Amino acid sequence: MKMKGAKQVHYESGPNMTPLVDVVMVILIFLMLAGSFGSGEHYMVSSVPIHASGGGGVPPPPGWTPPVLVEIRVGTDGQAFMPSNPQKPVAHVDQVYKELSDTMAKFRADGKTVKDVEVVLRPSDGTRWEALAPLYDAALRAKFEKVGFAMTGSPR
Amino acid sequence: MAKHSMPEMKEGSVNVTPLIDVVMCLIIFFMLVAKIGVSTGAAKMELPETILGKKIEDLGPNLVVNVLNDPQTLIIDPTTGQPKKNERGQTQRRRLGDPYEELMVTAMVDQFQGKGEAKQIKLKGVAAGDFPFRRVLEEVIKGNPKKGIKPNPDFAVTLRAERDIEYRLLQLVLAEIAQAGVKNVNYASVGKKMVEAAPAQ
Repeated sequence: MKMKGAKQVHYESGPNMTPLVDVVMVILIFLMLAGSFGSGEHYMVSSVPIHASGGGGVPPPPGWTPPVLVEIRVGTDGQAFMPSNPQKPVAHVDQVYKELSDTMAKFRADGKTVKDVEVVLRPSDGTRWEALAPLYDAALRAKFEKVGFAMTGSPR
Repeated sequence: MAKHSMPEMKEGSVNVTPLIDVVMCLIIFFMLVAKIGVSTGAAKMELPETILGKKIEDLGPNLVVNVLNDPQTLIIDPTTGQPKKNERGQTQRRRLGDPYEELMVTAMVDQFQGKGEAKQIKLKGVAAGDFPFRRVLEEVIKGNPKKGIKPNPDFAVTLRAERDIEYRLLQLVLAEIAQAGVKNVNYASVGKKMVEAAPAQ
């Protein structure tokens, strides 16, 4: 019931902030939904230039010694055959890592540096990339810096 | 001089000023951190899993190359209408006469001119001796004054290959990269959780 004679008090409330808050919240939600914060991808960095062909016919620079090669043959099923036992496939990539770590320790004990050794992965034609990438990764984890792939076909 | 004072608050109302301050800070944060509309030409694909990898924020001058199986190599099961898979759950693919036709290579080739859209590039052209992909890489390494591309001898290729690409196809791409004289290649993968600790060294 409206009281007659009651004094109307008007408070100065300033500009209405509600629309500003609404707009700001919409912009915030847009940025949260539309922005991307990275794909979760990471990269295996190669430090060996890919050689399309062998070095035959090209004289090596003076004083150059060829690196010691650690060849890992990879079957079509992704099974790795290490140089220590080329007939028996290694069951799991962690075993590959362990063998490569032991090999690196031996090289270091012999006074070799990471630049003197190179891991070469020799896949079969049907070997899938998902089987090769973990082996490449295992070589990098074993502190090899030079890791490369052998070509199966003859390049042009 | 008129006396100015803060407007009086009605009893029970909420002061929204701090709320606006916080929200504005959040907006500025998301505007700076989020990447909207920045494309590297990376195609959506399933990458292989690896444990060790570098999270490289700035890859330097590089070209992201996507390598995928051409969809025409899919073998579709007539009963289900879905791609056939083998006993290990791997997608089965047919082999074509020319392995170059089994690959789909895309990259954002015009990024060095400030344009951005991933395009398909053929590894081998129709004419003999024409290798478009190799030409693109050579152009970036040696430069092209007519197109405003400066020489980039330290240019790198970031290779994003689909996990079920066979090596006989992938090596075609690697061979072209080598022939073009690219010295640095980064292989993209996704992180895998380590299931056991690495042996102590």
